[in-house]
Amino acid sequence: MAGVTFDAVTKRYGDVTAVADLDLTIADGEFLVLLGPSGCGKTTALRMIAGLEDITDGRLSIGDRVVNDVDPRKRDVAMVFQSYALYPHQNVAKNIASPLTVREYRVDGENEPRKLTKAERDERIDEAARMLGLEPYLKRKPGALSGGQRQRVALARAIVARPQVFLMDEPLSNLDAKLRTQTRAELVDLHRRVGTTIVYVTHDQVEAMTMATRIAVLDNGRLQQVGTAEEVYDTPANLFVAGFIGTPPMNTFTARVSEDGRRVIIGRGGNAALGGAPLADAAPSPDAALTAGRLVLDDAKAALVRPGNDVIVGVRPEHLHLAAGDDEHSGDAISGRVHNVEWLGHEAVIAVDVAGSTIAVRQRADRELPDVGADVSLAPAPGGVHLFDPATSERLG
Amino acid sequence: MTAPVAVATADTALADAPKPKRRRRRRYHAGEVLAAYACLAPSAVIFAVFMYYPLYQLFVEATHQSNSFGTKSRYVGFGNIGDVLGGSDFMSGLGHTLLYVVYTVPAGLILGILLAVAAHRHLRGIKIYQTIFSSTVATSVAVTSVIFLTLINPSTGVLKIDILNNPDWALFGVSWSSIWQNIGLSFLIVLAGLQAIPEELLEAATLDGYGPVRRFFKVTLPLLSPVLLFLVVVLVVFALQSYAQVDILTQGGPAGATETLVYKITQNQSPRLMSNGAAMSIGLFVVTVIITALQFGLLSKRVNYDQ
Repeated sequence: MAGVTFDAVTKRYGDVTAVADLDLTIADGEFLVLLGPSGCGKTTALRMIAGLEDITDGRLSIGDRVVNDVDPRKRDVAMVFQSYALYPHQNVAKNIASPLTVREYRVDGENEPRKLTKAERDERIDEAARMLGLEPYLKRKPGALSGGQRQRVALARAIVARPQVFLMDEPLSNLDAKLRTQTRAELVDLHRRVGTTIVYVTHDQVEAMTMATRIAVLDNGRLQQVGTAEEVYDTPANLFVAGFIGTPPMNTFTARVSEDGRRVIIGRGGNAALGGAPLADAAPSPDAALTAGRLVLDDAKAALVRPGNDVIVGVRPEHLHLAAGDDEHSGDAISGRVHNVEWLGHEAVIAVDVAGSTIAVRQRADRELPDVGADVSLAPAPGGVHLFDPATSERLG
Repeated sequence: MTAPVAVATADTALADAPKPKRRRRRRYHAGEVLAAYACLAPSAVIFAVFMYYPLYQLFVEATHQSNSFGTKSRYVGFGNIGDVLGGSDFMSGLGHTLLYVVYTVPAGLILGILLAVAAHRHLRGIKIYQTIFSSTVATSVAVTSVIFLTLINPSTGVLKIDILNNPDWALFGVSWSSIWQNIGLSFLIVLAGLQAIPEELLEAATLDGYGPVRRFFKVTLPLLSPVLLFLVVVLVVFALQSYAQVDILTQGGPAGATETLVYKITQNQSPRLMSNGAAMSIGLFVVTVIITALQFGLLSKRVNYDQ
């Protein structure tokens, strides 16, 4: 087993940079998820580990070995493809056996790698088939299997090789929702049992949050943030991460710090999931636009800003408290009008128009829900305010 | 011919699924039956006019002998077909034709695969090569034959190969022209087959440790097998029906060494010989059916239709 290290790795196709200057250290035994929207470079990064893409610049290591120029066959990695890539003309047993027939393996207690004997191969195939519940299907061709079964065959083929690293490219995206949930748990369980490093690519934040030991968020070929699910959710490093993680993601507002430095005066608001601008480079000018309300900053936040500065304020939908009219929040609130209410059983997502664009408020469904068209005021929960630099999009504090 | 394969996969697929209810055969209304026949009528008419009637006429010709002017004919019986098919003329034509199959089919297949594999790459300008390799598809047999003749002309040609005047080698020489003619088709069919193989499958094989040669024989070739079976059947039928290149290049010579079956059939067209020609046509038809059935029977077990 081994970790993987990207050291300033860049991949360019002609003029297009798919992965830019990626620095990322994946620890041995980690379940790292590369997360990002399509075209963000996550699959390219994964394929560079496999050796299916050349590396334009930088160094990529598996364990202590730099693998930039190592043939894919010699990298000792196994990959699960999005389409599963099973050999349609071979039965399940042969598919699983495929990596064992050609490559040489180091057997415990022996120094030189060698080809496995038939008995050793069968033992590994049986073990993998047992682990994934594939024993009844070993003689079938992939065409006679369901999507979930094919997916497990692809996993079994990866497991028998006992590789240094498992690479998985959106392996759940072809499964239906129920099977996906079930397979997520199985993958986590599998990782616990075999303990091998897994690098997993997905655009689905739920997969990332539920399975990863750490998540690496990519956008536009650049690494945005690496951290545990909690870190990425609770302290997003920039506006992209804030607007990508969470369903719906974080609301953002243009704002200016008040003269006393204790408050922010709110201009426009938006939410990426509701078609609102994430406000990456917006500044709240002219001053006349600062009419949506104001929020109090706690001491820690107030220390980060100077009076009169423009900032972007972020508040997660579940951290916004909603009250009718002005009654509860006195002056320190954002005013808006209810645009839509989505009742989801355990919770409700309320879309609120604030100064012309729409933000999201999430609240428990057993609380009283506002009527559509009602005037409301919104105040953040204590500690619920995030600040971002409008010029760089980076998090403040 | 694919039925046994399909049934086998369906059976295993349903092994632990609930058995589907057997569909009950229902009675059709008279209107439905009428509509069905009305829809079938156009193709039935076309088949009748262009296939069944000529086939019937062929048997009529083969069992009747005409005088030199075609004005009188008498019934000579089915024995005539047996006599012609057992005769040395038909047998030598059949021998040449089968030899022609042996010369052209494997070579056409292998060249088609080689060129397609060579051109199946993501390279700048590869379309130009693909167009060149497939160009003979758009060229008629007559044109390729004439170009070939000019090319190898022993006194004025570029290659100056005197092969068509040697009775031992002439048929082999004619087959070159056919192989060349067929390359475009073989190339296109194999290239399409290659392009249908998912890239991820070959990448998976690479990560499983397969080198390029093993990958080709263990993954690419099995997945190409339906395409290759089709190509073999087509190339064999082409070879069995070869005529134009023989007519243009050698007129069956020297000394009848390149007289294929179809060429012989065309030589038996005068009213007096028509019954011989008709009998040979029946012979060719039977040979074609047998060979094609054999190909499906022998090869389709080795063909993988799962994708």
